[in-house]
Formats: sequence, C-alpha cells, structure tokens
Amino acid sequence: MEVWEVFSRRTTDDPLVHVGAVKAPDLDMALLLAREAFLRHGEGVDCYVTQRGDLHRISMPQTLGRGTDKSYRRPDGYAKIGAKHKKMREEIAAKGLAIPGERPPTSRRSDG
Amino acid sequence: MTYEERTREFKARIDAGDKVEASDWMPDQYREATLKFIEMHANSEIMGALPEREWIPRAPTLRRKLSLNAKVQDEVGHAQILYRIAEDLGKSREQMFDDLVNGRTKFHNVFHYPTKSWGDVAVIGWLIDGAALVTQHALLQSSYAPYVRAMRRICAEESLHLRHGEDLSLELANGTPAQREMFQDAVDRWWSPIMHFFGPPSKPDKDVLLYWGIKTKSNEELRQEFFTTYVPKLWDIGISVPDKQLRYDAAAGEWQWGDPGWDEFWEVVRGNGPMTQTRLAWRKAMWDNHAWLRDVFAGLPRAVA
Amino acid sequence: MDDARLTLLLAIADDEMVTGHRLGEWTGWVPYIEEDLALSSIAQDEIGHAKALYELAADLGAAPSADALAFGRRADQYRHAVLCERSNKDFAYTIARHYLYDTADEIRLGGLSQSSFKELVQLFTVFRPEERYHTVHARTWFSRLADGPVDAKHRFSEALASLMGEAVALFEPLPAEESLREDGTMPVPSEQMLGRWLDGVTRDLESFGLERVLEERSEPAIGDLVPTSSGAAEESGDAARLRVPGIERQDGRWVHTGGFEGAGGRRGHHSEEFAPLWEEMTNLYRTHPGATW
Repeated sequence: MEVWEVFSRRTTDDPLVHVGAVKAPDLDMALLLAREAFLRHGEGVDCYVTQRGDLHRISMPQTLGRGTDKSYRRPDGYAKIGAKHKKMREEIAAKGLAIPGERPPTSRRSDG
Repeated sequence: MTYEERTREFKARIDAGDKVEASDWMPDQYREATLKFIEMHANSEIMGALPEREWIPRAPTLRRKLSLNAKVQDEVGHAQILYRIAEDLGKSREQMFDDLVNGRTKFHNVFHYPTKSWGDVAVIGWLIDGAALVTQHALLQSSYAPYVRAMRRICAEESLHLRHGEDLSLELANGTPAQREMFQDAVDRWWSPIMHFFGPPSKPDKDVLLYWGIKTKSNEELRQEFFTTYVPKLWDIGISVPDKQLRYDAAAGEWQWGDPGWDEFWEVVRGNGPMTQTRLAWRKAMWDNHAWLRDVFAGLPRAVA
Repeated sequence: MDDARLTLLLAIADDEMVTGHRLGEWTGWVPYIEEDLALSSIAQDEIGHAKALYELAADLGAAPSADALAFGRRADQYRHAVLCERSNKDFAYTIARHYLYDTADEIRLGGLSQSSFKELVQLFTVFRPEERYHTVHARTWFSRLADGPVDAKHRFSEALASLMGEAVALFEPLPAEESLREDGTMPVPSEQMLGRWLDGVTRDLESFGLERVLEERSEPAIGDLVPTSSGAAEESGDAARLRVPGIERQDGRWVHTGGFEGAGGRRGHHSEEFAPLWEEMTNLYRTHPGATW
C-alpha cells in the first residue's frame, strides 16, 4: 500500500503544514482516512494529501539561510533599534531640537 | 439558484466573516476586483524593487550592501507570492507581465519617482515601507483567504524591513551634518508622494473593494494610522515634515493635515510620473530580450547539436 | 602581515566582491522572478565571503577595516580577475560567467584546503557548502541552456566562447606565487589547478556537444542589457583590450599554453569595464570620509 502525506491548515488564515501520513491503496481511500486520522479533534479546517513519491527533497539543506553571516536577513540583525531610537530621542530632547507639536496619547507601533 | 441568488448568498457569507478560497464559486465582480487589486499589488512589488535596487551597487558598507540586497530580494519575493495567487484567479503571469511592461496595468504612485541619495534609501525603507505595512496589515482581514495567507508572510518580512529602514534612518539622522541633511531632504521630497500613496479621501460606501471585504479600511483610516505611528518618531529625532498644517487634534482624536494637491497624483496614475516610462522601458527591454528564456521552459524542441 | 599572503587573500576577496557586485546588479531585473531570488542569494553569498576575507585581512593589519578594503582602494589596487568585472550582458552571458567562475572557485577552494594559512582554511570550511550550492545552481542552468532550444543554446555557447579566455586568467599566478608555494600557503600551484579546471570544463562541454566553444574562442563581448544604477546602459569605450591567455588541444586534452603575459587582473590591470563599476561601488564611501552608515 502507498504512503500518503497529509497536510492541513489550522484556520483559513494559516499555511498548510505537514501533519503526518496514512497508508491507503488509492487517492480516494487516502482522502477518506486522512481526515479522521489527523483532524478528528477539530485540529484544522482543511486537509490535503499527496503521494510520498511526489515529494522531493532539496540538496544541501545545511545551506538554507546559514553559512556566512546572514543576520541581516533576520530581526536579530536589528535587535537594538528600539534602544537606538530612545537614546537619540533623549539626546535630541536635551539639545532642544525635537520638533514641537502635540503627540497622540499612544503611538501605536505597526511593526510589532 | 439564479446568479443573483448565489451572489446574495456569497455576500452574506463574506459579511459573516467567512473566507473565500480560489476554488470557491465567486461572483464575476468579486473575481475581477480581487484579481485587479492583487495584480496591482504584485506589480507594485516588482516595480518597487527598482528605485531601491539602484543603490545596491552604491551601498557605502559591506553590511549595507548585503542588507539592501536582501531587502530588495524580499520585495521581489513578495511579487513572486502575489503573482502566484493572482494567477489562480485566472490570468497568467506572462499576461500580467506583458500588460505591465506595455503600460496596460498600474503600479503604486511612490514607485514612479527617482532616487537621488542614500537618504532616499532610508526614507523608502522606513516611511514608505511603513506606509505600505499600515495598508498591508489591514489586508490580514481580507475576505480572500489566499491573500490573507500571503499577507501573513509578507507582513512578517515587512516588519523586518521596517527595522532595517529605521536603522538606516537613525544612522543618517545621527550622522554628520551632510548625512542629516541628506535624510531631511529625502523626507521633504517623499512626503507628498507618501500622502498620495494613501489615495485621496474616498467615499467608503462607494468602494467596491470594501463592499466585498477585499480590503477592510478606508484610505483615511490608514493615513491616520500612519501619522500616529511615524510622525512622532520623526519629530522626536528632530526631523520635520513639510506640511505646515499637520497637527494632532486631541479633541477630535485625529490628525489634521494639509492637502498636498492631487494633480500630480493623477498624472502619475496615468503613467506620467518622472520615472514611469524609463523604468517600464527597461523592464520591457529585459522582458522582450529574454523571450528566448521563456522558450526554454515552453517545451520548444531542443537544438540539434 | 606577510605581503605574499595578503595578495592571495585580496585576489580571492576581490574576485568574490566584484562577482557579488555584478550579480547584485541583476536584483529586481531577472525576467524570471524565482530566479531573481536565487541570483540575489548567490550575490549575497559572494559579498558575504568577500566581507569575511576582508575582515581577516584587516585583522592581519592590511587596513583599518573591511570596508576600507572593499571601498577605500584605488581601482588599480583591486586584484580580481578581469572575468569578474565584465558587465552582465544578458542572462545567458551571466550564467556562462557564473558557471566558469564558480567551477573555478570550487577548484581553488579544493586546491587551498591543505594550505598552511590556517585562518584562510577555516573560512573556507564555512564557504564550501555555499560554493558547492553555487556550482549546482550553475550546472543546473548550464544543462537547461546548453540542451535548450536553438536560440538559448546559441546565446549560451556564444557567451561561453567569449568568456573562455578570461576565465583561464582566473588562474593567473600571483606575483608572489613562488614564496606562497615555499611556505605551504599554496600546496597546489595555479597552473595545476587550471589543468584540473580545464579538464572538468572540457567534460561538461563535450557532454552537451559544445566543445567547439574551446576552439572558437571569441573576443570578450561588449555592451550591457542589464541597466546599471545610473539607469542607462554602459557605453563601452574602445580602450585597448587585455590579451587573454591561450589554450590548445594536446594529446586529446585542452591545456593552457603561452603563459599569462597581459592577463593582468592579479596585478591590478583591468578592462575598460572596471572603471565605471569601481566609481559606482566606491563613490558614496569615498565622498564621506569617516562617516558611519
């Protein structure tokens, strides 16, 4: 019997993730069995299967975003940005160079 | 069920917060509006790579050369994601590219302008990406599920870009007098394109995108969010914005701003921005001169050695 | 620091820097979006390698910082091979250069793996998986283009033919090669590495019926399709061309003949295509001495 890999998404907003595999003789059986094998507790809102032979692995996974320093591609490459802004704000305020004007009560950060 | 009944039922689904998948039945108007909106978003990502990429070869340090390349690469990646989901609405990527390079479809106004200094890289990376992120955050509530999933990934990357952009900006604002001036000058030049980016104040009840829940916030709501997030940050580091009327009205709980005028905006939208034709012409040249590359994958016969 | 080792370090660093710079010019322009992402990553890998090598050189006392080496030198102080500085032309040309450069780089990394220059060997262990990935990328494209429709195959083989001579010059011996040989910095001489590389390239070309590329080498191509930052295509001047090293078929193998006189990249001689690249790459850094970015 074939091995069928099973994917589901938790909510409609989520990506498909691999949740396991089932053994089944054909596609219809695989679809029928996968739902009860992995989603019977309400784990997700959708489910897909594919034959294992249709999944292919990349070579050299150790090079994925690793190797020479690639911190500039990640948030930790800019870890101190909040402190940097705060320090500068204080220096500018001390010099009296801040632009006057009423600020709203909470400046919402939209990058959180 | 008649078409009208199905459409009413579809609208009720959306109003109840249900999400639409590519394989679901949808009214023609929904499909067309969603495709057009996502296609323009994709076009804007790929065209938006151009003004910034001009500075990859000029970046002043190795670290900045790397981070700017990675940042522009992410924008190209966003185009890839968005063209993919647009394709599933029934228009091929080739057709979308062809329409773009021949001026039949549009891209956001801010990507029609030249970049003049490293200060522009900072302003694009912080304020323009900031403006884009405000609008993209609102799309996380869209009724079209593949778009929501795409925006989840894109917003995560954009919040990295924002840090990158803020880092660039602070370095300039905190740098030599020439660097500080470079940054202030860039803010001054980009301010009205940023105001234009949010679009003219619109009538939400007439907006087909809001009607179908493809987007969920009006131009004005998004502009107000942008002011609240970024204007205090700029003021705090002693950088002014070139709008004398801009002020926060505590009583009204909103920002008052000076109308930048919309003639230039409409000119740009019509494809007459300062860099529109140049950038499209280059992209068209690249596209047309590499038709042979598309043939490599089009199943054309192999050459006989 | 020992000058001979520094020339080796800078030759490799400059190769990677200029290669990464040229690949970075493609970012946003590749007429196949997925491939745009792949080329950008390779550009970043190469710049990342240059950065690590310049940092090592700076640590060893060559300059106050890696950035000073990358952006603060005169054009004639760069030691990269001329191949790396050639403008991108079109996608076929870029892939041809990418294949020739990265296969040569792989041979070079292998040839230096037993070097007595420990700090360099240590860096190479980090680079090698990335460089191996670059050659997989290059070879995958090689086969698609070499085995593709008439137009693709023609463009690709023309590009290879125009690049072949300057690719041989990647192995131009360093001025200090003799002393590098003596102290074990270079366990394998350049000429021997070149032989290994030519054998591999010959095999690849033969398997796609492209061996005529080796016979019909042409002059370096000029003219660029990829817009440079100024937004206008480079007009190549007609400055005197550097001579390219020769290769010849002997006893069924392609071998290098006739020395390297006139190749020049390792001695700071560059083509007319390097000056505008250098100007653009270093201008902002040079205009604001002492600034941080």
